[in-house]
Parts: sequence; structure tokens; C-alpha cells
Amino acid sequence: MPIHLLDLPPEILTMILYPLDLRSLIACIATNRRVKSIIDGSTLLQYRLAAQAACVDDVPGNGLTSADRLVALQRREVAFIEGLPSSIHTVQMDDFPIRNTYALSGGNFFMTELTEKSLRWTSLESKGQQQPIWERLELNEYIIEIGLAVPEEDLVVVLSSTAPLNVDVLPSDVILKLHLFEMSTQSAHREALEPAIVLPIDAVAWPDFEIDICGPNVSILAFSVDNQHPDNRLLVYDWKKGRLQMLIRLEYLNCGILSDSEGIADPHISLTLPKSPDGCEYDITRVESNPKGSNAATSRPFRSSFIDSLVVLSVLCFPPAEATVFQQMFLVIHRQALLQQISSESHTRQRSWEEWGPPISRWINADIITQTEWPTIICGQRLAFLTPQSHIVLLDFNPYTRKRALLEQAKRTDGNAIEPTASQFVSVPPSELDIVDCLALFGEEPHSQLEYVAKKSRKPVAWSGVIMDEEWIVGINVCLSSFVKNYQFITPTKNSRTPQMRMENSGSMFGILDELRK
Amino acid sequence: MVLLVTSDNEQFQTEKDIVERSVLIKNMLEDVGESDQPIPLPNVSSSVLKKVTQPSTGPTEIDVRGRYLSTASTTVESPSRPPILEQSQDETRKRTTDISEWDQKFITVDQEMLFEIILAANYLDIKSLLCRRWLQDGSQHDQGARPPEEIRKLFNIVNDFTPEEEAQIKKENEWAEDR
Repeated sequence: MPIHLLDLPPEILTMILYPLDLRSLIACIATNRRVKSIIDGSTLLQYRLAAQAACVDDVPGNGLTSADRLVALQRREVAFIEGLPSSIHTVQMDDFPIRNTYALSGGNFFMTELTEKSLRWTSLESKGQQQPIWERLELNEYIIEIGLAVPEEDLVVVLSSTAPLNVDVLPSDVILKLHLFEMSTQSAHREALEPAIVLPIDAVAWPDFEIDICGPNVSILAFSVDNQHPDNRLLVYDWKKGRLQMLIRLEYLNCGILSDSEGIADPHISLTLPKSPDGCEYDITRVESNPKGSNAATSRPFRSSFIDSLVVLSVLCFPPAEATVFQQMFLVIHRQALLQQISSESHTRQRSWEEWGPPISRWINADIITQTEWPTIICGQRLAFLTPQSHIVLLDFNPYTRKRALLEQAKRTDGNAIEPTASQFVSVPPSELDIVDCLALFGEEPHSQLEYVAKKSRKPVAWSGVIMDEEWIVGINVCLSSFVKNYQFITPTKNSRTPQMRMENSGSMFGILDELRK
Repeated sequence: MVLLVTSDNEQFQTEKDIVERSVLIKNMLEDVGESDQPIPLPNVSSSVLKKVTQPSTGPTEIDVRGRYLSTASTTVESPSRPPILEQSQDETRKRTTDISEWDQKFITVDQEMLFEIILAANYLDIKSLLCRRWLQDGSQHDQGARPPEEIRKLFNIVNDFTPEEEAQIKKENEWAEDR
């Protein structure tokens, strides 16, 4: 008798169904009662569905069952989508002076000390109500810049110099070094052939740097002294092999590495932004993408999908008429779609905005104040920033989340259901974040089509900036008036009405209060 | 060399390192120790054993795997055709609700073998065969899935839902539909 698909035992059917993509699995649910009951009853398949709907990749190992993973994922999604953080706590900075270098990676909050020779970090995982435990890494040299890929590569990159670079006259024999540390062991990274690489760059001519990481690639953009006529250098290393892959002159002011494939080729395509009217100038002040590669060194059950993540450009536009007034915007682009632009077979070296931009990107009005260079504001499909009125804005570009939000909205207009009031966030119609005066800025409508769901905090927060990673949103409060400090409390969670959401670790929202006041 | 006897009483002389990919046989060999005794496999037919004992890196096995994958991938992609029939990319990309005659024949013949192989791999406990995308090649993220009616047709599945249930399922899963 021939074997029929449905004759197979449930565990084998589960195994067969497991690799299917989200829409195929859902189509299978609708085929037949037996198939539906197998999918409904399998935590493995339920987790698989939930993971794809959340645009996360499973990280195998670490001894967790699919039921554990499913619960952790659901918590995380509720925390972000419903705006119900699993915990909120405030941490006063310890009594050490710090510089304005902050970074967040894999639930670790980093900063460099004012002496410039040590790096401090604390794991935000440490149990909610306790004082944070600070770890410290000391160098014999001055820390210039750091780059982090903790959940991806267990990597901390430190660019150091043998003399401080913020002095008027630099000695000519300054040596610049790239140190590759392993976060978990706090020593030289075991995958790096050379744990310290001397940079072939003269610190007198290039005293300022920016670092980006993607998989095995580390980029160092060295800014020249003269920023009127920039003569910058871009160095790209394979940090595992300790090999310089690329050293080029660059007039650009920013750089980001988007692909974690090995072997970097020369840049060979330019994608232009919308045509700006005469005299209007763009300045891209930051490029950021996160996760920093498709690898997973994390002990978490899952992580934001690398393929499905976003790239954000922070764009300043100076309109010609009032040159002192500028418009700050974000251009958010789907990473994979952007990479496909580069690999596609067309040989044109320049592609106009209309050719590449509209379907894969979105312009967002981000009138944010940038006194401090906030590092990470994006992770996976999500983005967080602070408005001038100090409201936190959370954007989610996950298409499934958007579809769900639309359906719920439709339900609400039909019936009388109201938005849940427990949430500290309210929905924002995307039009509120659209660029108001497209014609003046671009001379045309940019037609950017990437859709998202936006939420905004009900009340303004007392933060001067927001940074985020996979699981944490950290608000930072800086008061630079004095170095006398005052630390007294760690607030209990304000959200005590929803105790079931106050889980440790996963999906948490964390507030760090860094207060240096009189 | 190890001597295996299938359900249809065929004998197979097989390399030890190949048969040891089966955890079941490996354990059996460890229990029995060095012996010339044939190992009976009452749940595996000779045609299936041939498939599952091919060296995993050999071209034959890749061929087998490729064929089943492409067959089965019709559940999520446009109907696949054998490479020789492939005329142009456009043609293979064209979505059609009809399953071509070729596909249907291929599937009815090969689905059965596919299921037998899966069952055998499960019985013999061959990890490399079990952890495999049987039904689908790595599909692109935004590729539309086949509707349930097509999946039923491909695998000869009976729709036992009431129209109300169908409507309910559709409503529950509306969020995952094409944008």
C-alpha cells in the first residue's frame, strides 16, 4: 500500500514541516485537520512560526527547549510591540569620571573613562534591583575609539594610540594600534591571528577615527585634519586573519560595512539620493547597521535576523535659502535589498534614486538634537530615537507586526475596543514622521515605500538620548555642568500593575541615568 | 565490510563507516562485536537501502537529494521542471495553479520513495538524512507560498474542514498574508 504524507508519524511530519517558511507553514495549517493539529500542538513548530514572524534567527545549543525559546520570544515581542517593558530600572553612574563615549552591544553598556586608558562596561543582565557590577579593561595606551560585536563575534575592538590625540601638538612618533579583545574572556581574541595590529596611518595627519564591524570585517575611517577639503583614509581589515584588505583615499565623511562576506572589493557602484534643488546640500552624519554580522556568539536562544535587518543613514540637509536652518532625517534601508543593488548584474556604476530607492527605503523626519554622538539606535527591524520634545519614538519595520497593527486598528474602528492603557506608548500615525517639506528638500516627492509601525512614549522622558540593542533600550541622561555627583537610588519598576511582564533579562527595557550634577 | 539484509531479503555488502552513519546499526555492531553475521533490517526495502547508504558526499546522493528537493519544493515555489526542460528563467518563474503533467507523474512516483526514505532514515537513525529540508529548497523570503488547495492537490490531502472552520483559520492568519 502506498504511503501517504498523512500516514507518517507526527514526529516525522513535524520534522518535515520544520524547515518551511512562515507562509508555507500557515498554508499547511489550512489544508487539513490532522496537519493543523500537528502544527498547533508542536512547540517546535509554534516557535518556528513565532521566530519567523519576529524576524529572528534561532541560535541552537545553550540547552534550551523550544518551549523555553517560545516563551522568551513572546515576552520580548510583547515588551516591544505593546510597549510594556519587562522591567524598567535606573542606574546611577559610579563615581568615576567618563567621557562621552557610550556603546551598547549584547546587553553590555560600555564607556571609556576620562583618563582615556581604560574601558568600563556593565552587563545589563545583572539582576534588576542590584547595583551594577562594572568590569574594567586597562590599557597602557590611550583609547581613541571602540567597536563592538559582542553577540555576533564576542569581539571588542579598541583603537589605541601611544599619546593622547586631543592635544595641540602631537609628537610625530605616535603609534596607532587595533586591539582585538574577546568579551567573554577579556583577553586577546582567540580567533584573531594577531591580537594587536599596528595601523599604517600617521596620527598627526589623521587624528580622528570611526570604527565599524561586520563579521570578519573591521573598517577604520581615518579623518584628515582639514575637514574643508577632506583627504580621509578608509582601512578595512580581516580581523581574524590580521590582514589589511583595503586602504583607499576617501572624500566621504562616513562609512559603514554592510556585508559580512569575506574579501572586500573596491567600491563600484554609487546610489544617489533624491535630486536636491540647487544649492541644497546633504551631509550623511552617520551610517549604522545592526546586527554586526550573521554569526552568533550569543548565549541567547535567538537573535535578530541579519538578512532582514536595516541600515540607517542619518542625513542632514541644508536648504539653500536659509543655510543656517537644517533638516535632520533618517533614511532607513533594508539591508539585504541594498546589498542586492550592489550584486545585481547591471553594470551601471551609478544608479539614480528612482532606480533603487523607493521600494526598499523610507525617509523619516528625525528632528533630533545631536549634542552627543549616540551610537546604536537600530537593531534588526527596529529603531529608537528621542524627539526634541523628549518623547521616545520606537519604529518597527517588521512587515508582520505592521499587518497585525493594521488589522487591530481596523477592528478598533469597527467595534468599540480602545487602545490598551497599560502601555506607556501610544501609536503614532506614520504621516507624523514623514518629511514635511519634500519639495524644498528634494525638489520632488521621494516616494519611499518601506512601511513601519511607530509608537511614542505617552510622557516625555528625562533623558538626553536613547540607544538600543537586541533587547534593551537605554536612556542616558547627561548633565555636563559639573563633575560633582549624586547617586542615591535605583527606582523600582514603575510598571507594577503588570507583574507578569516583569521578567528578568529577556525583552527588558532598561534605563541608565548617568547624572553628573552640582 | 558489513552484511545487511533487507526486508525483501536482498543482501548488501557495505562499508563499515557508511553503515555507521546509522546510529541503529552502529549500536548493533557495538553490541554484537566483530562478527560475520548479517544484520537484518526488517523495516527497510532494498531500493530504499540503496538510497540511504550512498556516500553522503558522492554525486549520486546529491543527485537523489536534489531531485526530491526540487520535486517537493513545488509546494512553495512555482512548479519545477527538470533541468532539460528548463527553457528560460521567465517560464520557470511563471506562477500557475495547474500542476504540469510532468510534475504530477514525478511526484506520484517519487513522493512515495521520499516518504519511505524518510521513514527508513528515522528507523535507522541517520542524522545527516533527518536534518534535511525535505519539502522545500531554501526559498526566498518574499516568495509567496502555495495556497492550501495546491498543497492538498500535490500531496493528495483531503480537506476535512467545514467552510466555517476554513473562514476562521483564514481570519486567524490574515496577518501573514501577502502585503
